[in-house]
Amino acid sequence: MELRLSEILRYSGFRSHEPDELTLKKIEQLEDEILGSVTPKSIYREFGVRALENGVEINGVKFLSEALKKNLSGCDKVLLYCCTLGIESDVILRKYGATDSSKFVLAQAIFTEMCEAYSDEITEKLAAEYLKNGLYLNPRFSVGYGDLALEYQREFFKLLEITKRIGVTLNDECMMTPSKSVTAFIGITKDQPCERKTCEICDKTDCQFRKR
Amino acid sequence: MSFKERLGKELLIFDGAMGTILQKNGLVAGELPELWNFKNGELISEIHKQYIEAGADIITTNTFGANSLKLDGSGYSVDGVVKKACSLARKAADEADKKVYVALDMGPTGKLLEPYGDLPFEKAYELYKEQILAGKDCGVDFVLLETMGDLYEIKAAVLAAKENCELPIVVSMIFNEKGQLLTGADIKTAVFTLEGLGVDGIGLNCGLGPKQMKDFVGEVLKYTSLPLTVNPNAGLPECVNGVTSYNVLPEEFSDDMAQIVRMGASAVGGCCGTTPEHIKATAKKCRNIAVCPVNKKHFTAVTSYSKTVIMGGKPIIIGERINPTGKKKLKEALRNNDLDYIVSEAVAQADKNSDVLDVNVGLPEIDEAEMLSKAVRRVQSVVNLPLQIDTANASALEKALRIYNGKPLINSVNGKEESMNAVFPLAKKYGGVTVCLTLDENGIPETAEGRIEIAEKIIAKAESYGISKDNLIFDTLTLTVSTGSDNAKITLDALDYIRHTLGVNTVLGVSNISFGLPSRESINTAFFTMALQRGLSAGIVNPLSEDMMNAYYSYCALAGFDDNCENYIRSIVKTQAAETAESISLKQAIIKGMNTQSATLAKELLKSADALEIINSEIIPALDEVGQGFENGTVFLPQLLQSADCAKAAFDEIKFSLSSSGKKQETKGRIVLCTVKGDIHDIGKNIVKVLLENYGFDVIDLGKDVAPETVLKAVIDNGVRLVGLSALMTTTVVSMQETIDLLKRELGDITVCVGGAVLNQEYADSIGADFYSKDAMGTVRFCEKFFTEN
Repeated sequence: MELRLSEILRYSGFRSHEPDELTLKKIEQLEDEILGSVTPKSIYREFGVRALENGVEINGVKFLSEALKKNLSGCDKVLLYCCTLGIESDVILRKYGATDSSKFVLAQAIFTEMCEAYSDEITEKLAAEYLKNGLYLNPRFSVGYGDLALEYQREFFKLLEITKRIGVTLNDECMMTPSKSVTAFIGITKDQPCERKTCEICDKTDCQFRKR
Repeated sequence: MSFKERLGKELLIFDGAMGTILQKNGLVAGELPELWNFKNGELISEIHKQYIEAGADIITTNTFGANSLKLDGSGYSVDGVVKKACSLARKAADEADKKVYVALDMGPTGKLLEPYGDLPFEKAYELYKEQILAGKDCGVDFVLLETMGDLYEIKAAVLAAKENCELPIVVSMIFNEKGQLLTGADIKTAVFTLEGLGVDGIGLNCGLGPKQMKDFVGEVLKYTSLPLTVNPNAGLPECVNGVTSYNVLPEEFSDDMAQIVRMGASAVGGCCGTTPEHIKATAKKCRNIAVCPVNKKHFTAVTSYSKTVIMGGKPIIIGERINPTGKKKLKEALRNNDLDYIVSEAVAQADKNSDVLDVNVGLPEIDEAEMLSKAVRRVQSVVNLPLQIDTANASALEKALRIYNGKPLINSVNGKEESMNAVFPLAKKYGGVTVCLTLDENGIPETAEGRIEIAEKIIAKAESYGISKDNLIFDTLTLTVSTGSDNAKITLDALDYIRHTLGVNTVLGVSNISFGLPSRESINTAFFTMALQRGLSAGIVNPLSEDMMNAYYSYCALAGFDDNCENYIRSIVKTQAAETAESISLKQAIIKGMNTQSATLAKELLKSADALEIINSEIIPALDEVGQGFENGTVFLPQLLQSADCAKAAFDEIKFSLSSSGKKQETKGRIVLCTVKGDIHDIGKNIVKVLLENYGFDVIDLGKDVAPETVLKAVIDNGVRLVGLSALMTTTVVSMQETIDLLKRELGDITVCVGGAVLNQEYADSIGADFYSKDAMGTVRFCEKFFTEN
C-alpha cells in the first residue's frame, strides 16, 4: 500500500507548506512502526437498492436522505463496505497521546491516509471486476455525510454484520471502535460516473484540512 | 456420565448451525434469531431434533445473542428468552433415545470492552451473569461461550460463569485466516490465558471452513492440555446478490472433520452453513475413530491481550522501572496521580526490548489497591507486553488480577503459610505464573540447601491448590555481596538446583548484589552473566541500562540463543565517544523540537539559574515564538507540539528540582478539560491540554466521553471557575449543551470555553458557551486573559 506524503501532511495541518526535516523523519519512523504492526481488514456485500420518495431502501431497511438518494440515483445495486485498521491503531495512538504529542498528530494523519489508501485499493480492485460486466462504481458515500444521519450506522452495521465479521463495534452515539474504521455505500451503475469528488462537496468551506 | 466426565475421553458430536436454518425459514438480516424461540418454538424444537437424529450428542440452546444489550427494545427479557430456549432444547434432549447434552450457548456482547471500546469490564461481567443465572437451573449440562473474539470479554464471561454456577465451561473462539482473534491474540496466547482461567475445554468455531481450520487445530494441540472442540463453517462465505452462502457439501466437510478428529479433537460439529446432513455425515465418519488422549503440556507462559512470553528457553528481561523504591520522580508521579509518567516508563522499557514489565505502585500514602488496577489498565492500554503484578497487598493483588487482560506474572508468594494461603487461591482462580521467594517464617536461609527446602515446600503447597510447578518461578534472593562474600554463591547454587534438578524456572532481581559498593554496574553485569549461565530464566533488571542489556545480548549470543548473532548486532549499544554537543540555548532547543537536549539543558541551567528565571528567559520566549508562528501560519501543528513536548521535558526537570527542594511551582490557574459525553475523539482536547500545561496552567483532564455530572463534580471538588469542552461530532454537540446547561444552572458563575471541528462562533453562542476557540492557541490566549482579569 502506497501512502501519500502530501495527504499525510495535509491531515496533520501543514496544508501545502513544506515540512521540516525532523517532522519528515518522524513520519518515516511512524510509517515503519505502523506498517509493521497494523493490518487493515475490510468486508463488503452487494445489495439491491430501491429509490424512495425521500431516500432509498436496501434489503428492507429505509435510509432517509436526499444526499444518499442523489448519490445512488441510477443504481439498482449498491455495495456496503467497511474497513478497519484494528485495535492496534488505537493502541499506538494512546501510546503517543501519553508520550509524544507531535507523533500523536502525525500518527493520526498516517492512519487517516491509510484508511483512504487502503479503501481506494480495495475499491479499485472491485471496480475492475465490475467493469468486466460493463458496470461502474460510484465514489464512496459514508453514513454521516450530508443529511444521512449518523444513527443509520446501526442499520448499516446489521446489514453487513460488521461486528461479527470484522470486530468493529458501535457505541451508544454510533461512533466506531476501533476508531480508525470507515463505512461507505458504493453505488453500482451502468453509466460512467463523473470524476471522483472528494472533500470539495462538503459545506464546511472554512475547514483547515480542505483540499485546495 | 456427565458431560465433563466424557469430554476428552470419547468423541462427542456437536450440532450444526441454527441461524442458517432459520434464514431458510424466513429470518431476515438484522432480526434477532433468539426471538424465534417464541415466534416459532416448534421450528426450534424441530431443528434440535433433526440434529439429534443426525447423531449429535450435544445441542446448543438458541441463546447466542440473548443478552440485555441485544434484546433491549425487543419486548423480551433475558430471563424469559433464555428459559424458553433452554426448555425447548432440554425437551428435545430428553425425548431422544440416547444421552444428549444441552449447552447453554452465549456469544459476544456485540460491544468492545474498555480500554479499546466503551464497555466496562464489570458491565460485560454483569451481562453474562444475567444469562447464566437465567439458564443455569434449566437442565443445561455446560456453558458454551462461542464465536468469542476478544480475550478480555472471554475473561469477563468465564468469571461470570465460575462465580455464579457450577457448570463446566467450554470456550470456543473465532480466529481469522491469520490465526488471530479480533483483538489480536494468537492461538498460544488464547490457550494460555484460557487455561489460566481454568476452563474445561477450548474450541475453535466459525470464521473458517474445516480445511482452513486444520492448521490451527494443530497449533492449539501443540500448546493445550485441555480437550479441544472444533466447529467450522461449511467453508468460507461466498456472497452472491447480497446473500451469504457456504458451499462445502456434507461429504467433503465430514472428510475434513474425520481428519481433525484424528489430529486430536475431542468434540466436533459445525457452525454457519452446516446442516443436519453435514452433522450426519460427520457423525458417521468420526464415530469409530479412537480419540487421542488429551496430553498434559508443560509451559511456563505469561500473556498480555495479544502476546505470549514463554520461559525456560531464551532468558527473558523483566523491566523493573515501574517501582517507586528509590525513584523520586515515580513517587512524585504516583502522589499526583500522573499515570502518563508511568506510561512513558512503560513505553521506554518496551522500546528497549523488555519481555515483561513489572508494575509496583506501593507507597504508604496512596490507596495501593486502587492505584495498582489503574496503573495496570493504563499500561495495558498502550503496551502489549505481559505484566508482572507486584504487590504485597492481597486485596490490591486480587483487584489487579481480576481486571488484568491476559495471564500475568504474580510477584510474589513466599514460604510463609500466611503468604501461600493468601496468594495461591488467587493465582488458581485468575491464572498466572507466581514468583516464589525462598524465605519463610524463619527469614532467608543462609545456605543454598535451606532455600531449596523452602522451594520444595512451596511446590508441594502449590500442588495442593491445584497449581502445577509449570506455573511457578523461583527467586532465590539476591543479597548484597558487600555483607557476605558467599552471598552470590549461595543464591546461584540454590538457583542452579531449582532450575536443573527440580525443573522449575527461576528469576532474580539482579542489582541488589552491588548494594553499598562503588561502580555498581560492574558487579551487576558480572553477576547477571553468572546467573544466566547457572540457569536464570528471567532477570528483573533496568532495560535502560546499556551495560546490563549489553551483558544480556552478549550472553544470548554466546549461549546459542541468537542465530548469526543477529539480535546482538541489531541491539548492542555501542559505547561511543560522547557526541560533540552543538552549543545551543534552551530556547533554541525548544524551538527546534530537540527533546532530550531540552531536558539536559534545563538540568544544566538549574545549577546556575533559578527556576523562574529559566522559565521567563528561555521557555516562555520559545513558546511565544512558536505560538506566534502557529497563529501566523508559518509553524504547523506537529511542529507546535514538538516544541510543546520539549518545553514539557524542560518543565519536568524544573518541577522535579523544585519539589526536591520542597518548593512548588506556582500555577497560573486551574481548568477542567474534557471531551463531552458520547464523543470518543480526544485529539483536540489533548493538544489543548499539552499547550495549557506548557503555559503554566493546571489542567484537570477528565478524558473523553465524560458525563455532565462528572464535569460538575470535578468543578465543585476542585473549586474551578473555567471549563473547556471539546466535541467533534454534530451529534455530540447536544451533550456539550447539556453540560453547559447543567454547569450554569448549578453554579451560575462558571465560564465555559468550547472547541471542536463542527463548532463555529454562531453554534457556540447558540449552546450558551462563553468562548469559542478555533484552535488550541486560541484557548491558551483566552485562559491567559481569563486568569489575568479574574
